[in-house]
Amino acid sequence: MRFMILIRANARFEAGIGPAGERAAAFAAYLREMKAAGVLIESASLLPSADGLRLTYSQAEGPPAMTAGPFCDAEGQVAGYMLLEADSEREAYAWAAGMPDPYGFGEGGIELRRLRDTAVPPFAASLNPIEADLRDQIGALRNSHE
Amino acid sequence: MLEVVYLMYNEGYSATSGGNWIRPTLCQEALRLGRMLAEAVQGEPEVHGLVALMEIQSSRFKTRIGPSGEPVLLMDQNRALWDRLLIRRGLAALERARSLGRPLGPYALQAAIAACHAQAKAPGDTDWARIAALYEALSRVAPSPVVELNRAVAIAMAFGPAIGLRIVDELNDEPALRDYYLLPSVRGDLLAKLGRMEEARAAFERAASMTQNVPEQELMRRRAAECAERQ
Repeated sequence: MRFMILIRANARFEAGIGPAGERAAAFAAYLREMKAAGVLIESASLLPSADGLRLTYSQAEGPPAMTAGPFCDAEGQVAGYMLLEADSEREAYAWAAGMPDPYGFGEGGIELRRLRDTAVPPFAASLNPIEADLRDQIGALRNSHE
Repeated sequence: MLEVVYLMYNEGYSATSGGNWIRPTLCQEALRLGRMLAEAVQGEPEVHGLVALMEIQSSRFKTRIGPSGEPVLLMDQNRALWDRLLIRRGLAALERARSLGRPLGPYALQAAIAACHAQAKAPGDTDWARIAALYEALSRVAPSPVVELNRAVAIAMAFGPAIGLRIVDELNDEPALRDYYLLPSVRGDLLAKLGRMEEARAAFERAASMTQNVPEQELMRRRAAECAERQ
């Protein structure tokens, strides 16, 4: 099951001030640990909302209203995210709980959210993979008749 | 070790019946084990090759089965639904395997073949010449008659049915393929493309007589009947 950790922004992040050296190192170590456990699928840091654009759909029809950043509600902004593939909610929770405070100063905040599961359908026939490739290729050969 | 991980993955990938929801979990477990291995053993190209193969195959999960549970062949899949994130991860893992500068092993080569399909925006954009070359490389490191048959089809796609047929005909005496109905089936398709309908019909009839699988038998008979009509 997939989870997303959303790292909330604060005033410092919005002002373009990154975490101090030792915080950054602790965070990098945490990311490495997640990667080694095969849990981390993707992660990214965002730029401050000054580079952002907000679209508001205030009418049922018609074009959205556009506002350029920065947006004043710093705490409502996202500073980064991580995409996790975990075996259980408990495991995802443990990873979230083990994350170092991204900023220090008691200002950090993160959110753990579960992704809506994309159901994976079962496969009908048991095949070895090379033979599955062969069937796909035969399909390509037949399609190329037309 | 790698083989065990891939066996586990395929057990999940080609799950037949019962406990269906647990099978995909097996795939995910195998993929995760592979990802862990790749972090732990960074200098081994085949580890990255295996991860690349599993990532790219997983990217097609959602499109492999039609609404009524029937398998959907690669060329008929809706490519817009392929998981771009997993494809990107797979291509990155393949790049890591290549960057180690040693000859690619069977997993990395299979991943490279899967990558050719993943990178084609539409079936018509598929780089068949490259796929044929990769099968050639695969048949050197992991020789098998079925790999050869794959190579023949890829060559037919890239360079035309006549040259593909020549390779298929060389496989006729291969003992391991004596009871393999997909050999005459491929032969039938190639002959039909060349307009040799009577021979194509005979090949499909032969293929039908060699398989116990009823839907496949019907498909082969239907192909034979089509060839008879077009004579």
